[in-house]
Amino acid sequence: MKASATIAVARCGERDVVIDQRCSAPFSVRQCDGRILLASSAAAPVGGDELELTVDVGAGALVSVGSVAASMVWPGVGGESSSMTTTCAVGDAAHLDLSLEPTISLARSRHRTTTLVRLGSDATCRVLEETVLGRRDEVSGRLDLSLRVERDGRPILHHDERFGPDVPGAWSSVSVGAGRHVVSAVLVGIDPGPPEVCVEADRSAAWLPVAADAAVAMAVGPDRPSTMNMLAALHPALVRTAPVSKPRA
Amino acid sequence: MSPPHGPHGLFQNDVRPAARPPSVDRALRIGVGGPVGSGKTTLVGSLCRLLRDELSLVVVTNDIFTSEDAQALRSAAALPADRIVAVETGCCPHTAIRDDIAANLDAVEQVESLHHRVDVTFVESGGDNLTAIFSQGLVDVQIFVIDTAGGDDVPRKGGPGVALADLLVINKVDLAPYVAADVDLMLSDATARRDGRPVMRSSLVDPEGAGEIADWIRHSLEHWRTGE
Amino acid sequence: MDAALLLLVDGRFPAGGHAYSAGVEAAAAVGDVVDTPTLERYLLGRIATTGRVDAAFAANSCARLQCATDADALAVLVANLDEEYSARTPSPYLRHTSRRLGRQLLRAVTRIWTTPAIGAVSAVAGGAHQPIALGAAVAAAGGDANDATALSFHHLTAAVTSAAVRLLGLDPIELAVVQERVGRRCDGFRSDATEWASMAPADLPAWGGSLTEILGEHHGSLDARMFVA
Repeated sequence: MKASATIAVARCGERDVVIDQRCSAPFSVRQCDGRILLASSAAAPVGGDELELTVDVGAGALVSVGSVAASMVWPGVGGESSSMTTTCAVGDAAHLDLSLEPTISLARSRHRTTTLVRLGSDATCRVLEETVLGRRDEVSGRLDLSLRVERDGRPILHHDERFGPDVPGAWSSVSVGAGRHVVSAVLVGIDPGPPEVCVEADRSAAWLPVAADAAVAMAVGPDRPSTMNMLAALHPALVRTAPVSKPRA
Repeated sequence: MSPPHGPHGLFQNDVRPAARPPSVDRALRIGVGGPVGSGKTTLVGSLCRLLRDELSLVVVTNDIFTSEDAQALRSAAALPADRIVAVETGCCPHTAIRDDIAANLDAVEQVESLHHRVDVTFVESGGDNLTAIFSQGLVDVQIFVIDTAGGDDVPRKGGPGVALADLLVINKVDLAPYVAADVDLMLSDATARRDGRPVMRSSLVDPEGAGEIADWIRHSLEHWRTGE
Repeated sequence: MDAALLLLVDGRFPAGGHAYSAGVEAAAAVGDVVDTPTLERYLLGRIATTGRVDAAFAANSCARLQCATDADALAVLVANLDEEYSARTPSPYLRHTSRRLGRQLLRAVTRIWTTPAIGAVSAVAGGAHQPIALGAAVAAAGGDANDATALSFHHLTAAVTSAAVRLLGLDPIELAVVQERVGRRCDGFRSDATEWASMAPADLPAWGGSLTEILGEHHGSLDARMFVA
């Protein structure tokens, strides 16, 4: 199954207006409490699915995109791979908050998540990706993550990571050890917080300033609550629920 | 009886350290090496206190665990913290000062560039064995520190540090009576091996105990700058 | 292989590699690497992630920096490689370490060879990242992208195994067997070298590991360590 959702928002006067909202099953898009929420109306993705999400934030607009529920990745009948590709363009002086509910990799599934965020000059963002490697006592499938954030065409972060029992070095200290809840976040332009590097006391999470006004946070934990607690200790903006207020003066 | 290794009357080269070539304009780099516990860090601390009012000094330390020595020097307030940097040795103190000097050279150049007109850079090696010696690519002159408690046969055993260092320091002479070490024997054995290079004794219990070594550094600096 | 390239292969080349463990010191400290099998697992993980990234950047910089038509084009390409490599290394400490290793390599290399590419990478503020410096050095020594890839993997493998010998006292002969086995896997990746050589830097591999960055950053915050990273 191939499916896509497109969301475009423009700044009109004092308001942010959704000027384009198209989606095909299993996607549906809702607006709720100032956020735009993606809902999936079927058990998706399953092996073979190719899902696409495109977000266009016009100059000066503020958009918060989330999802209604976690995304369970199911194995295909013939072992095919599935994919979810998210592409965001954020115009000048606009802001994107992108934090979908976790992607959960189930046993024997094969999935690729690709997220590309292109920021215009003075654009800001909070992008947060959560991954769960298998349900309780389940060995996850193969999961490839790719996260790239650019500003004015120049890269701020490009991090790809591969998980799964057949991956070289799987479950070693190269990647996630025994951790099953994995979070990567990129904050650009919004309250970059402490300029200092900070590693959480248990050595499982770190706040990594990568530019004067940008930081990456990474965390690996046994479950969602403990991982989110580590992130909250690094910086409150990492776990704040959207919508955010526009930070600019 | 002549020593089994050492100078030979048929070969006479000038053993004094080189003066600065005209094209080079930088600090005099002094290596301080020697076995574990011989008193290198204490000596560097004493020298810093004796010289810091007249000279601009920086220190690069090498240690098994990065910054033990740097911390000791900082907490002794021998120099401001930004004048003391530590280099990792990858478990091999002599490799870092002799074979692959890249990390030390990088640290020396970085810290010298951060301060205006440094006069003297001390590079303190990690405690090592008697075969350690500083590369000429890293330092201009070197001091090798041994101590009476390490055994009074060390000068006789020799090795590159004992034989070739520009200055050999026999430290902790105050302890000699307690460890049955013969300081005079150490001095004569050392002198026999060193082809006229200087040997000094020190006791750093006395704050002025490194005074003679500080004078040697002043002369070395003068020689480095003027060739005199 | 020419004498010039062998210089760069030799771990005794004075570029400061002896104080780099490629994360093994931190991995041993957290109890992930304790013996030869866990070391091999760690090494395979690094080969597949940062190892591939480093090899790709070395191959790319080796091939493309030689082809730049003028000094301006060269500077643009070096800046592009530099920002793309930084984006793949979010840990500020690991970035700093990579630049330091690059600087150390170039200090020796510039005394031997002078090429426009070596000049351009030497001009990077704070020091060129190690793989970019290595690529330029391999080109200066007469090597190609395939050589740069092989050297990059070799240095990672050697750094990991020799650090384990020194930190954990593992059997160096057993580790030589591991090195040979892992080396064959690296040779498999070398079929990618030609492709890496011609890619735009933005498209080069970006494989990494969360704990590589987190533990690497933590290692840098310690005031007691034996290896720079």
